[in-house]
Amino acid sequence: MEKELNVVGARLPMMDAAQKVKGTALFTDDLILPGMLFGKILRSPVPHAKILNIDTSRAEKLPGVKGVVTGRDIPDRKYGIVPMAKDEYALAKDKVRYIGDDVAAVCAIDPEIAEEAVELIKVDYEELPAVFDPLEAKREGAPEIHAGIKNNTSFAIRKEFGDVRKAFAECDAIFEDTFYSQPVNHAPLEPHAALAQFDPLNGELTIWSSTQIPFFLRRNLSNTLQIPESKVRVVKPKVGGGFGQKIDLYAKDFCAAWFAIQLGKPVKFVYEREEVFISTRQRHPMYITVKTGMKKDGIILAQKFQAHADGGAYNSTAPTMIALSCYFLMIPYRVPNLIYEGYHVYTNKPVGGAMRGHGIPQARFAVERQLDMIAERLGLDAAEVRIKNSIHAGEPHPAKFIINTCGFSDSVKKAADAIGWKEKRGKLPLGRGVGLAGASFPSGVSNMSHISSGAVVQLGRDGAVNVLSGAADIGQGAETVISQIVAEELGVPIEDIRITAADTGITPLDPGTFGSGVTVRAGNAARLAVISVKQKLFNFIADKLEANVADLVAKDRNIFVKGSPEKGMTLSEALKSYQYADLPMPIVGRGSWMAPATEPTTLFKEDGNFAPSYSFMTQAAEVDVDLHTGKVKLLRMVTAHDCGRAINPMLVEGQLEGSVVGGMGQALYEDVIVEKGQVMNPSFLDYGFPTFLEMPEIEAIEVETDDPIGPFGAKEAGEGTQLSPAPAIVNAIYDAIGVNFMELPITPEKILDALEEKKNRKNSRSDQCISHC
Amino acid sequence: MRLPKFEYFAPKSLKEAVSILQNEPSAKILAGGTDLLVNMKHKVECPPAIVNIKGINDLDYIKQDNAAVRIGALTTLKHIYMTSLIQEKLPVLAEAASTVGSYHHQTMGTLAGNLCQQNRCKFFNQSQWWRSARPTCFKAGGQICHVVNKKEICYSSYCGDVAPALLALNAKILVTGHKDSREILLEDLFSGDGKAPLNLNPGEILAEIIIALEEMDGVSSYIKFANRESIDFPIVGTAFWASMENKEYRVAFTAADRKPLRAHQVEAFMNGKNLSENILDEASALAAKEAKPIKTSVYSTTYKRRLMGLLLKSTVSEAMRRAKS
Ligand SMILES: Cc1cc2nc3c(=O)[nH]c(=O)nc-3n(C[C@H](O)[C@H](O)[C@H](O)COP(=O)(O)OP(=O)(O)OC[C@H]3O[C@@H](n4cnc5c(N)ncnc54)[C@H](O)[C@@H]3O)c2cc1C
Ligand code: SF4
Repeated sequence: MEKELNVVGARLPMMDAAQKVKGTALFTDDLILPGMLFGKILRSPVPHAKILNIDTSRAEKLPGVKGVVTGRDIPDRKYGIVPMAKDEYALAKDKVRYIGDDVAAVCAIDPEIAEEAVELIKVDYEELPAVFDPLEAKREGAPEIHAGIKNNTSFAIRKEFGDVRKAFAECDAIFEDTFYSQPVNHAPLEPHAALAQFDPLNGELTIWSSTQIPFFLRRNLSNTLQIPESKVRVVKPKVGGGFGQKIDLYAKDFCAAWFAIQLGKPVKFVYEREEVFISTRQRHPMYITVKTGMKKDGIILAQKFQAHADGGAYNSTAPTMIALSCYFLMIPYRVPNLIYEGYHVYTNKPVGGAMRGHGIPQARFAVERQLDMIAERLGLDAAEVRIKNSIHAGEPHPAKFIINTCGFSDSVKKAADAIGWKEKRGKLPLGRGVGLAGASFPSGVSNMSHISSGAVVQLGRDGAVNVLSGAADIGQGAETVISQIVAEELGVPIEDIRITAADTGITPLDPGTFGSGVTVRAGNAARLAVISVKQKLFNFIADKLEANVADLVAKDRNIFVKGSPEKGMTLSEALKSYQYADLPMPIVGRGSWMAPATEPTTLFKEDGNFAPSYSFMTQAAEVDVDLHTGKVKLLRMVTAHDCGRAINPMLVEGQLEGSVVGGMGQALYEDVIVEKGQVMNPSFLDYGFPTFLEMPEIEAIEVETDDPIGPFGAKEAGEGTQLSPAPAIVNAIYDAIGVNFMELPITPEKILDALEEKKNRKNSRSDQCISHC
Repeated sequence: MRLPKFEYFAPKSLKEAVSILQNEPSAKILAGGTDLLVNMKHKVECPPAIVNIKGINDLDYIKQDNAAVRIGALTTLKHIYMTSLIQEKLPVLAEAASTVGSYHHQTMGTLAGNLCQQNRCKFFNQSQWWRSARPTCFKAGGQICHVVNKKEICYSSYCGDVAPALLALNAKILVTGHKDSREILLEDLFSGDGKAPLNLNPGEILAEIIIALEEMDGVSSYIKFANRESIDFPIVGTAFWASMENKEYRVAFTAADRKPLRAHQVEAFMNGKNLSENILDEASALAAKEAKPIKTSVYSTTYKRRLMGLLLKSTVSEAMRRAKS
């Protein structure tokens, strides 16, 4: 794309940055409606029990209480973010399945009364045996968490690509290792909230919700409340982070709507931080065993991968998570022969769901760790092994992915160079080390369930460019990116763009923020819409200027003939004469975009090209391990990233920084600690994720490819970068102290224990090579 | 989370405050509120009345007379570590105050509030709903302990940062009560009973913290080991004070026991000796034995013991470095 760009590619601050800094941006909890009531949810204090009886009479009698609802009262409609995996009621009907399960809700004139009323509800439980570990839950005789689900295994897949048995027979060395990745909470700064209003005269429900997917929420509310979708309007105010945790419907959405409908008054629910930790979603804890067969030179021939995901009490995204963890084993490395076995197992614990990377971070941790371990055992260079096995653009893929552009091997080289791999790896003093890890992620996922993004651009006489988009900006800057794309096409500065995003009553359909798709999906849709506006205007002007439409350009609020700026007019003049010609104003353009695919695939049943493109990256870490306290300091993190062309490099950096902290958290700090089904650290203080002062020096290296599908060549930059920081850090720890950690997180205590153990058995090497020739 | 209901008093003088507290023996004193209000929201403390002492005039000061440095109860932690007298002459105190929580806690939190803060336990510092998943524990008014299966003993840990620094400085406190004021060693403020960690009678207010002038002749240091730099209670905190000429040493720990701990055995072992590496090794080994850490947090007791020995060495070497420069 040889085109001079002005707004696209510019380092522009987010359009709402100043508002957010000043505190004037309106999040759901900032919204106040006349006569508003406040809700609160009663949650189960037991991990597994039958609900025998719920006595709400005392709560109802408390002055100020306006309504109480329990599972008995609500329609018999199960909910689930993936249609084939619905297994959850907004409020538990007959059984609770984890400490924190939603049991009942009250609504009162102020939050204090609501809180008090919740405590007055008496629930009789018949406690059932509970199970807290997926491997135990899978055994015969384990407590049954959902009726009819054998061995608590709600999803199991076994896939084979290539001829694995034959390939293993041809390997020079085969290794098998077992890993564990812990539960991690998304911990968005804004707790989940909803405010609902109902107009009994026209039967219309409006809900403001901190959601990532307004259109899914609309559908799910319609389903669970049994009211037509056309009567549900979801508005997304500012959202303070989601990371996948806000794609689901929650009791707060359902109950706010329920009470609004019942009482005809606006009702607000805001979760406590504790509720965010316990009763929303978390990254699935996963036990993983990987068997990898290689040639002597480090070429991967075959892999066998077995995963047990601890799903907690419900499915949420179970099938998608399992599918992703499977298919993304075959990228960014060439794995021609693969057997994947994955199980999603219920336990009486908080629920697993989509979280930045969605099933892939756990798998990446295992694979990237094992690659380093194998390289060491075979005496190969870990960076070289990655380059050798790198997938390349255009090559056939065992699962039928189509790789248009791929900067992976380049990213390994660049990250290695930047961290000083040659000089440092294996050569730093005890306690200091470097490590790296690679990854790939789908960009612009839309090849599932026929989802498409729409956009409308309206250009009025005042020169303001009105963009309607269904994209859900949850803090990543989606609205800014879309506005940049529109501004670029129309040749105006970004200040001229007014974007209305994510109001299902006004804006066109959009799948929302998931699958790293917003820039690609909604960006492309907006681009098509603005091109259509521009064409209408150009067609009109071309006559006036006696020029060819194809020769016209829009730039700096002017329209002129390419090469002769004097032959043209200002945008404002053009609009004036358009209107004076009695042509319909505003000029409206519509765009709709969906990934080009003959057959969409969810990957649940059949292979196929899951995403229109794939991003690639390598992250390299340098760590310092304090041998006395066991504390690991992440000194530096380099990310070499192929995200196509960055629409806004500053926002890409923001994503990178966030992913580095997230990766650090996963590697070193974060763990949702559960004892007997109870989360022990449900607060920012006790959960202890890294903060600003723990941030390392961060270097971002662009590996630019020009993607043919993304708008202006862009690919995703949201989730992919979250995949490899954790294994890169753990690999660096190995380089620093010679200990192979197989479980996350690596706390100072574990470091000290490992160092001690290492001292104790200096001589006994523990190679786990099953066959070595 | 909401505050439970309470009656509110805002006395203008110590005397008035004491008399309100006399009439309302289960009332709670409110200073910066950064400890108390969190516990009230969790409903582990539900006092019927709150006596806000922030309106009392002359309790916010740092002054020096010919016997001692005196610090008023309401002096904020930030004021303490920003005061050059403290920074230069009593660095252990400045360091401890500057490591408390985050900046916000340091600007709101007061010295007396910090010393009198509640003990902590992973089963106690939780919301009412959270705690309803288990029987109520001793400290919260129930019959059992979830940490140690023993009758009627609460093992919750004292986690304040400033107490060990003041213990190492042999500080005294002035306690004002109904009839008179009494001056006691700070060490005697702490009962060692997790359920009622302070030896204060109903109606008593900690009014002043007193540090004898000769303490300024020593060298000192406080080192806190915590999960994050920006915020967090100590996993272990260690304070050290030494008079190099007299070979006299004081060591105190926090977050290692039910009260902040003067390590008397360690001190007895070190006193009179030159602090060679061997001596320090032995002292460290002793230090680990002096406290009885219990698993009231997510950190193991073995790790806490390790850190005690380690931090003792670090504080000593930091203090020695200062003695030289
Ligand atoms: C997130 C978080 C992190 C924290 N981190 C730390 C930390 O790292 N280190 C640390 O030491 N503390 C920490 N704290 C606890 C607390 O913030 C500090 O200890 C603070 O100094 C308490 O002072 P305050 O004035 O706010 O006390 P308050 O909350 O006002 O009072 C605390 C207790 O002392 C009593 N009290 C107050 N003044 C007097 C008086 N004059 N006489 C008798 N009794 C009195 C009160 O009744 C109450 O029981 C943290 C708190 C939070 C919420
Ligand atoms: S130590 Fe025992 S009694 Fe004390 S707070 Fe913890 S659980 Fe309660």
